[in-house]
Amino acid sequence: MRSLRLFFSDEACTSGQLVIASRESQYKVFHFHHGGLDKLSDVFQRWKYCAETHLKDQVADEKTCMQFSIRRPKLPSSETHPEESMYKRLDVAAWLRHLNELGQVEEGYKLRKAIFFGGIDVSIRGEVWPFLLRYYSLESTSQEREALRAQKRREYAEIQQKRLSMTPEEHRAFWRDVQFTVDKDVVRTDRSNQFFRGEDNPNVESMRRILLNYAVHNPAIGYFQGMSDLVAPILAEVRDESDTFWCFVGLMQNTLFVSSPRDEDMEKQLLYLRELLRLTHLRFYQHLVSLGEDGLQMLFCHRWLLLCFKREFPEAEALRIWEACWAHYQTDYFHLFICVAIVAIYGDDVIEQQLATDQMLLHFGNLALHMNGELVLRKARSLLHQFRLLPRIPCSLHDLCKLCGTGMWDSGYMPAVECTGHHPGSESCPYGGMVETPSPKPPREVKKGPKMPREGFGFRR
Amino acid sequence: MGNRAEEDYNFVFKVVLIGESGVGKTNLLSRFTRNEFSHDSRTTIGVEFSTRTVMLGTAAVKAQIWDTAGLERYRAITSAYYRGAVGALLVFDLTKHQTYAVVERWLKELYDHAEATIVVMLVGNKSDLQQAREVPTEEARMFAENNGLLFLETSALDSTNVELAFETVLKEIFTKVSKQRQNSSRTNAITLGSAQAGQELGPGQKRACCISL
Repeated sequence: MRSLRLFFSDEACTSGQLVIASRESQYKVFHFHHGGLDKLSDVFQRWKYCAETHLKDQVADEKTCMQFSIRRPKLPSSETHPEESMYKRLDVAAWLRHLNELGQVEEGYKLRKAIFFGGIDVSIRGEVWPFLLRYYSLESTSQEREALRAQKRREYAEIQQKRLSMTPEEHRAFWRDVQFTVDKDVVRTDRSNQFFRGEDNPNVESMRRILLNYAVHNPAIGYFQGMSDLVAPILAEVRDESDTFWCFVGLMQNTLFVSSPRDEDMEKQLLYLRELLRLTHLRFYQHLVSLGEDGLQMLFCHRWLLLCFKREFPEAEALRIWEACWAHYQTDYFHLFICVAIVAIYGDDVIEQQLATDQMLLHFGNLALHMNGELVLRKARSLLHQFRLLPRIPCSLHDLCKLCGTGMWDSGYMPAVECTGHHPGSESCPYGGMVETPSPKPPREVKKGPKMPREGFGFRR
Repeated sequence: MGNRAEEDYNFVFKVVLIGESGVGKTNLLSRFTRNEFSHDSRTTIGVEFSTRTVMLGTAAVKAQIWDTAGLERYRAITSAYYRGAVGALLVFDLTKHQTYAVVERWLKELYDHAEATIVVMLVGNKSDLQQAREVPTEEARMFAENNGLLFLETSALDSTNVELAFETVLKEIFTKVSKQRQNSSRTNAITLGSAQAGQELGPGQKRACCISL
């Protein structure tokens, strides 16, 4: 055994999980849904062997030592976002209060903030998601939305017609490049969801048409594996084929984490993530650096980014994370804060035992579906809060502060941006000349042109 | 406290699974490492791997089997995926000719990224679906012979030849390593898995075994 850990999932610290890891990073997880974990915790704490190995300085031989820890869901108050728990889940009544008599969302920022902290009640997801996915604009009236739906329905029919009237040659190419894979993927997507269960389920056929039509609508993107995973939950909530299609179009346009056809997009995400880790979790970052290029590629989090954590958490929690990301509250890159939160909560083993790249992949792979999504969300919100309090941020993370809506630095407090050097075009970096300690150079960097300060950006130089 | 048997091994061999999407790579992996099969296993996104330790004679060999999406599009993943691999199973679905028609392309990608000495087996999966067969056994066998590949037909569903396929590849690697070890000075356990750690070592040390296969 490598480690024995107790993760409490409730505030009272009675329920949660007991996680036992073998030295090969294989996990046995015992769920305590209805309390009792606290009793076990007492027993373990009284047990001499556990208590002793709890002390870090006794980790003499990491290979044979068992590690013991207890995790409580409460973050220290100094780490919690001050506005945490001020928001309840957005239910029908609360949702209706956000709308005026014409059906327009009165204050978009307030709505997004409420969703960021509290999430959306399952019963109204289908109604609210189209706003978050920018199918409907927040300013639209109910009447305008009905007109839009009708118009978009016609457009969708036209796209479908285009697909069905391909020449035999076109169809052969389309079948080879898109349909062959889509056909295989839709029947193995979210089959455990009641909505898609069973043979010849019409909803699976609906998902298939959406993906095929999307590939016709966006031939440059076509179909990439992972898209079916992203569209399925939307279809299951929105329940209308045309509306789901346009929500999916919005998702693909407005979010950064989804399946993307280009290498550069992934590289950019990883670059930001590395920088964010360097800033907020230096020990983990240093561990990655010590592993060289393969370590810095962070293979373990590619799926997190590609599917926005869909396979890392049980569906209910994963969708809460989606909503928090889609809220675009204070940053367009909240998903990266989620990554850091996972590493901060579940990455101790990696550092303490100096896990190699492959072991790290195994470690996080085995944690899939065994992590506490609410805790990760809280931690991520607090990380965002702390990020906003930094007096200085490196120019490499400048883009995380892209204005979205009212903006990241809406409270009037503005950090300085400083150049970390070591990036292409750093001579002409608009934030140059403030270098303190140069950071270790990531092995691959995204090529960026010299950055110009943006119009309306209020950063002190 | 721990189960020492599972964690004591003399060799680690990294073996990669490649081939088109939907040919059954993930199920071959789960059948071999956990004796599990799933009828609606999800498409693999990113990279995953599982391990299983097998005995070859008196040597315990830890097989580290890597699995990835049939349509992986990130170079970063591609290079990390193949790095340090000493064996590969190139899988096609014998009921879908299209997955066999692109085998040559996969072979090229493999040799572009992996060591030339990598042990490769061509695997025609889904042999339980004989009535739907689109690729004749002899055709695939000929192709394998002409390209110096091992060849087997398997069924991850009913387990046919799954053990045999992995074990044949592992034995072949083992034979190469043993020969290599006889010829060179003594080395201890090879940890191909931690390729990064190997990078710090000189060419004559630990990692030499996988490089000079």
